[in-house]
This record gives sequence, C-alpha cells and structure tokens, in this order.
Amino acid sequence: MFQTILVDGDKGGVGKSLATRALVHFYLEQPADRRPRLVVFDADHSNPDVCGREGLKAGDGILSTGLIDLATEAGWIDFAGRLEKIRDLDCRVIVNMPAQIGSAFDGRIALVADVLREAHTVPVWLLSRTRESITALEHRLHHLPSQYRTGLAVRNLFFGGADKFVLWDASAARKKLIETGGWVETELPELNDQLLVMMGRRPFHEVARSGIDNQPLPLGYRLALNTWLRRAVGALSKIETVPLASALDSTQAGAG
Amino acid sequence: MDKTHSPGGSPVVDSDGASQPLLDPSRLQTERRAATDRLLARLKALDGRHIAQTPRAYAQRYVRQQEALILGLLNAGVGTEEILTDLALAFSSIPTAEFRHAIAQLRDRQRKQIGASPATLPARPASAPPPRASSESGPAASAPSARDRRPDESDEDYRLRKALEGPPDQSRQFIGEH
Repeated sequence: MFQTILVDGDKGGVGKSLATRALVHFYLEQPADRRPRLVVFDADHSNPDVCGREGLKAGDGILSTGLIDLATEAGWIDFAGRLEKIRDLDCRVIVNMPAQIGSAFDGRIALVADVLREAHTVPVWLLSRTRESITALEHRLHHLPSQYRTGLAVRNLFFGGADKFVLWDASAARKKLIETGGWVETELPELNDQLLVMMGRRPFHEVARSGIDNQPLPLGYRLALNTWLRRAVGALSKIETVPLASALDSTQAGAG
Repeated sequence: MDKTHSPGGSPVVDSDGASQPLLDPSRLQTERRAATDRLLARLKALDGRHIAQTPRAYAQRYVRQQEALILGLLNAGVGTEEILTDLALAFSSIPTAEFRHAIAQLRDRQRKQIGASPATLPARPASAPPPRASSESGPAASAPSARDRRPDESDEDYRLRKALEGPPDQSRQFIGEH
C-alpha cells in the first residue's frame, strides 16, 4: 500500500517535527520483512529538524530523505513528480509540514487537492490547547473536505494532560471528525526537555542504538528515551488504523 | 609459512637451514578440529553476553563472525538462497530478511575491500532471488555501481533513491545550511 502521511498543525511549536520523527521511528521498529519502504520529506525550510543537518538520512530502513517546497505551485508539481516514482510500491511517505502553510491549502494553489488525492494522503494534525490550533484545522476541513475526511488527531501532551484539551473536546471539529467521522485520536507523550536538547536532530534510532557521537547516553536519559519511544510508538501506531479517504468512498458505494 | 614438505615424507630444511620434522597430517587434523572447537566455545561464551539485541544486530554480527565461511561458499558458487535456507533452519528466531540484509552488507564490504571493478566481484549466484521489480528506469536513475550507493541498499532501492533525490544541481539547501 502506498500512503502519504502529512504531519501538520499549522502553528509553530505544536510538535510537528517531533511527531514526524516519532512516526519514522514507529515504522523503523517494524520487522524488516514487513516494513514498508520509508521516504521522509521535510517541507520546513526555516527549521528543518527532521531532515536537516544531523537529521534523518537514507539508510537503516529509510529509502530516501529530502527537502521539498510546498509553499509554491512549482513545489507541489515537483512533489507529485517524486511520488509518481514510488506510488506502485508498499511505501509510506512522511512529510513534515512547516508552520503557517495555510495559504497553500486555501485554493490559491489549485492542484493541492489533486496532489493530496493522488498521494493517498492521511493528515496527522498536532493539537495544542489553543483556539488557533482548532481554527487552523477547521480551515483545512473547509477548503479540502474530501482529503480531510480521515486522519489522525494528536494531542501533544507537552501542553498538558489529555484532560486539559477542553477546547478541543468541546469543539464541533472534534465531534465531526472523531465522533462521527473517519478520524482517529491519539496522544503524543511529553519528552524530557533536557534529553531533547541533548539529542538535537539526531534520529531516535541512532541515539537509541549508539548514543550521541558514539557516547552512550547516561542511564537515566537512556531509560527516559526508551520509555518515551515505547509510548510514542504505541500512540502513533494508530496511524495504520486510519482508513484512506478513498476507502470510505468504496465502503459507502458498497453500502449504497 | 616457510616450511616445505617433501613428497616422500622425509624431514625438510627450512629457510634458516634447520632440519624440521614433518607433521603428522591426521594428528594435525585432530588438533585443528580441537582448536576450532575451543574458538567456537569462546565465541559462544561471548554470544551469551549479548542476548538482548535486535534480530538485525544479531544477524549482522553473526554474518561478520562467519564472514570467511560465507564468502567461501559464495565464491564457490553456492547461492545466497541456499545459505539463507541453512540459516533459517538454524535460527528460527531471526527473520530471514535480516540475514539477507547482513549478507548484502558483507558482499558490499568485500566489493569495497577488493577495490571493486565489477569483474572482480563474486558472481551473483544463479539461485539468488531476482531483484524486486523496478519501477524506475528513467534518466535520473544512476548505475547501481555508483560510489554513493549505501551498503544496505538493493539495486532497485538505489535507483529509487537517486530518482527521488534528482540530479545534484536540483538539490536545495535549508535556510541557514548553505
């Protein structure tokens, strides 16, 4: 199965990069003979925490990594061209979106909806506890209703416990997406600040395997990383339970 | 070794001019077997200290340890699939894909060590699995023998990666990383 996972949230600092890296780790943890090919793109030019220097590179189960520009029409054309080369494969393309990319989704770049459809896109939406976080999601739902019928909503627990997301819990968007729609909900656990700073952009699988610059992490941080990875991978594994929007079409057609 | 054996089994003279007795071949074989057993026992004891590791790490380590044996088999024309079958029978807890990956890495290490013209590489065994069907054969795909190919990369994965990356002049820099 070919699928593109778009890790978004629009607002800066909601945890898109961290969630992207954790999603990559989830797939790398799968047995090699059952693991889909992985392609990782970073669309965040100003803060490339996923594929920038010291970040994820091809190898160790990742087919390719790279930078794409999704703020322009030319960038979307380039993106579609790259996907064409792998769309017949069992492959997951994971895209880390930049902040404030909303203008690319409001119709000003007309081909976005078609590219998302051809890419078999599943959106992952990182939630903070602010109203803006929900408003930006509603903006996507308004402009791209077909492509956002299914997805994964992620409460980033960096912003507080799951029960603190009261605006989201009470929102019409949540009712539409989670309670009656094709979205699935999960939580990204909080990662120790100090550990995050120590690791920088280094891939989790590298740090877990050989520490930082070949120096093992101190035991406490090693345990903190392993515990967090276990929890994050468990939470984000729900991505594989999200139906493709096209599958909903077939189901509805079958029911009709 | 500077010792030579005469066909008749009589003592020979080495390069220092000293007379040396000939070795008893059957005794030598027994001692050689004993030495191998001792070394294997030592290896086994080491293995016991590394129980908690991933299947991939174990497969890579095992193949490294048995590098000479596996390369000997490959160079003698034994197919990768036959070796993998033996390994699968012996290691029920290690997925065959991990051994396949480790053997691919081994072949690549050997390729680099011997400086690597394709003609000097051990021939791909006839029984080796066909590469996964390629979906990319366009101009962006480079030859699989190119220098930047990763050790753990199949021919097809290399072609796909090059196709996804595009030509070097199309690569972009992140802000602040020029």
